[in-house]
Amino acid sequence: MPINAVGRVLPERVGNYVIKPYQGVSNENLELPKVVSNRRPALSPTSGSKVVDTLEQAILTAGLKDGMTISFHHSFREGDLIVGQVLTACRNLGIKNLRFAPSAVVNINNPSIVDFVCDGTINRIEASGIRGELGDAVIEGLMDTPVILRPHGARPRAIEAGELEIDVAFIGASAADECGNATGQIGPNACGSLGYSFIDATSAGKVIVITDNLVDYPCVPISISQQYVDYVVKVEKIGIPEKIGAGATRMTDNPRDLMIAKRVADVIAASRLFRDGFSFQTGAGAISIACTNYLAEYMEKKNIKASFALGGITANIVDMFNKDLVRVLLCSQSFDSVAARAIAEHQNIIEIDNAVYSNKFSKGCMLDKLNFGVLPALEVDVDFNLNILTGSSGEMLGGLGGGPDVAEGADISIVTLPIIRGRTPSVVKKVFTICTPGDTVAVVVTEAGIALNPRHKYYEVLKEDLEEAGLKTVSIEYLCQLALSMTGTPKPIECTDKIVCIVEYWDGTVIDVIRQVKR
Amino acid sequence: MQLKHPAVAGTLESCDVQVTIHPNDGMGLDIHIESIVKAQFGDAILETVRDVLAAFEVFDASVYLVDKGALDWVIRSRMQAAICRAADCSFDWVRGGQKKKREISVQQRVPLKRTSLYVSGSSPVNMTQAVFYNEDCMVYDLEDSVPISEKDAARFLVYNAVRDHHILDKYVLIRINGIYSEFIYEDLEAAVCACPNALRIPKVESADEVQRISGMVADIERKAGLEIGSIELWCNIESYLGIIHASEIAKADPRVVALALGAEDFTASMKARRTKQGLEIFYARNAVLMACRSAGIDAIDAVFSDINDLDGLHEDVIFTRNLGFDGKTVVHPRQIDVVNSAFTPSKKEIEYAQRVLAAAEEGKQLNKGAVTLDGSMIDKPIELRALTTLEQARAAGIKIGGMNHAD
Repeated sequence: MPINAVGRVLPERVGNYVIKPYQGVSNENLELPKVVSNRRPALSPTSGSKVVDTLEQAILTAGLKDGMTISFHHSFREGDLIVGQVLTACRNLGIKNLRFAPSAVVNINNPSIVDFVCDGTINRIEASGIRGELGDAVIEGLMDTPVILRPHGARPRAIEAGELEIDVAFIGASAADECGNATGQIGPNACGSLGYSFIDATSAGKVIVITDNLVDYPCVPISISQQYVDYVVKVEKIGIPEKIGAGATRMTDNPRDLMIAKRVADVIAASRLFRDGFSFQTGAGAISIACTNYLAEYMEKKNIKASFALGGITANIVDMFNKDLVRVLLCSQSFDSVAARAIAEHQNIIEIDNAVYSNKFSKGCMLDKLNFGVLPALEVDVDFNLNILTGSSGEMLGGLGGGPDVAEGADISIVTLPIIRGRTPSVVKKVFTICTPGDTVAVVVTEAGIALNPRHKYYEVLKEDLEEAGLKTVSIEYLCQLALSMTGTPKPIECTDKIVCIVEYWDGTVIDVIRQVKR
Repeated sequence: MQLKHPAVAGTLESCDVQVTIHPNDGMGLDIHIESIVKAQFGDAILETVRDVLAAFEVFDASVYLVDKGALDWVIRSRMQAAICRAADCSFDWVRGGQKKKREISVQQRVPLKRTSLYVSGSSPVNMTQAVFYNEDCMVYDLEDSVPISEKDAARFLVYNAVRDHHILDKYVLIRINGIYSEFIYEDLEAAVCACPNALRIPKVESADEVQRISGMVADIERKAGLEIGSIELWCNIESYLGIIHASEIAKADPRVVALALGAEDFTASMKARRTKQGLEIFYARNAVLMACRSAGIDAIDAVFSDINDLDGLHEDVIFTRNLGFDGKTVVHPRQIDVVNSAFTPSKKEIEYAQRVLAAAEEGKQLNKGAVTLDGSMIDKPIELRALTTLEQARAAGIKIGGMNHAD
């Protein structure tokens, strides 16, 4: 059996999926085949309106059949009401064995995705993460076909490589007109950037826009253009904007998390790359949000302004923008309702396509211009590999998101995590699931110290900069040993041979697989 | 040991474990474990439970554990508390304490006392995390933050934490209950046997009280086979009587290394109103300072109570530092960095400290009895002060050029 560049033993294939083992971060010998699209031309309707009365009708007219692939964005996060409505409609129509390929599955329970797997509506899933009930069920062996997990940058690549051909894309929009021009930026239930949906709109066989806010033609701003849209459906409600901020984006007053956040800002401020015109992505998660605030304090104190903040944008980054600390916000996703509305309100806060944000198989993605990327993790090992998917007892706790892409793209990637959570050590000898290769991780910041990765390209300068600033560092082995001395050595998770998830890296190679956990 | 009735110890909070124990006469041990980390640590938890039961010679009991990710020392503490409650007995701290002794590490030549953080002895989650904050001194509390009904359980948590959860190199204290409280004897036994760096005694009002406590500590040290005099004392001065007698208290016993002002109780005893500006404690601050300086010990300033007002804290601690205090008590982790940074010495102070130490070193080399610098005598307290200055500079991340005395 082949072993990939991070030491994982992988089978040659899983069912029909042929595994290309991860080869390391080098970009040499990459094949760049012609872009594939499932998009079909159509005749522009002379009468204009594409509005269809019901979801069922739109699904039937679009020709969705057993075994086809459907897609969604996850911009409403836990406030999403579209996935449930569409899958229920498919079930009512008796459509079976769909491949469910949203940008991510967030924790939605009412109805639960698990039910649609159990009744046969869905039989395959491909996403950046499968948070919540679905993830746990998958790890316990719910599905016959393994779930393919891809980071954000890898999804457009897979679509354009023809590995993920979307038959029908469902795009929830908080405002749309009768011809299909649509956006997430305005309307009572705005979700902000529709960054994930651009590739779906341009690549899917059929595109259905779903809105609860049909506006006069033309809908402005135009995020999704009418030229790609086949049908428009009005439903009662598409999402609950207040719940966008639930789940991954919470504020903290936990002193331990605040201390870690402060240390991250210390590291950034100590770096020579922290200068006028620098760029950052701090992301969501308790520590990240606190870190953004500390970073803003440093910027004010040292009178340093950033050129751009990238990726998922939060209210406190919008606040920095309003204080003139950042010139441009490039939003592939809006992490809360404040960030969601900010795009429409400011010229320099813009919605960007997830592909231009993160797809390295393109003529240029913005992550390659990023100086600092702050990333949460569930586990890190002594080789600096990150696990951002699975918890210590093999439960599904997170999604890949853009984590692996940011680590690779940013000059300095900074990982934040406490060394223990309860009795669970999070700095370990080997992570349970490798999602991000250690070679792309520059710094690990914990409550027990800062560890620099000696194999990272910025190691020497970072070491010098941190020393200059009087920031002490420790070795990752020290953190691991300290964590284990507090918790004791956990028994390894027992798994069967059945592979339940395949974890792809941005280039489509397989960095790890998740096997069914024995319960 | 015979269990008399059912008993419970611990909570269902994160990082804690709730132990329920029932007598099980003649039926052996019956252990049920429910844990969020059962797959990884179920066997380890069972081993700890059996180990504690064996140490108490409990052979018949039903034990139910509901574990929320408690570390081993927390599980041990909760088991010990539950067994003692079920058997209506107290723990033999001296015997228990002889098995393993905590080594008091001396990485710093001069232990800094810029910040001492109170950590409640009834909160496993806070105790687990507090070792990682930047405080110089960690004060495990058995007094005000522990409800009366939890005093016994807190003793076990603090005892085991000091012995087994001493992760980083910190100066560790235990604040015991008041000298005239019903808890004082057992608190002292548990605290001394845990081997912290120091005990913090609340509401000290006379030299005689200190000497009595010191004598009791010595008795326990002797019984437990510890080095006599190794445990230091910090006296909280928190009443007008304490202020009046501060000078005698500071010199009452060689164990006393610091006085700490407690402003809330002091102002209450004065019928004064506590203000942010703090003029009502200005005299008390100076009285404590003078007592400490004349005894050659450290002076620790009172808590700044509004944990949300970091600007106010900054102002307060700068004032404190300018008065001459060596550190300040803090009640919330977010206060730590503000206080520590206020005690960062200036470049001038660092340079002077280096010159003091260089002169002292030269004096030793040349075997001179008295050393002078810029025409002034350098005595032991001045040398100690210089060492402290360099240690403070180092702790603040300042690189010290030239000779590096405290390395």
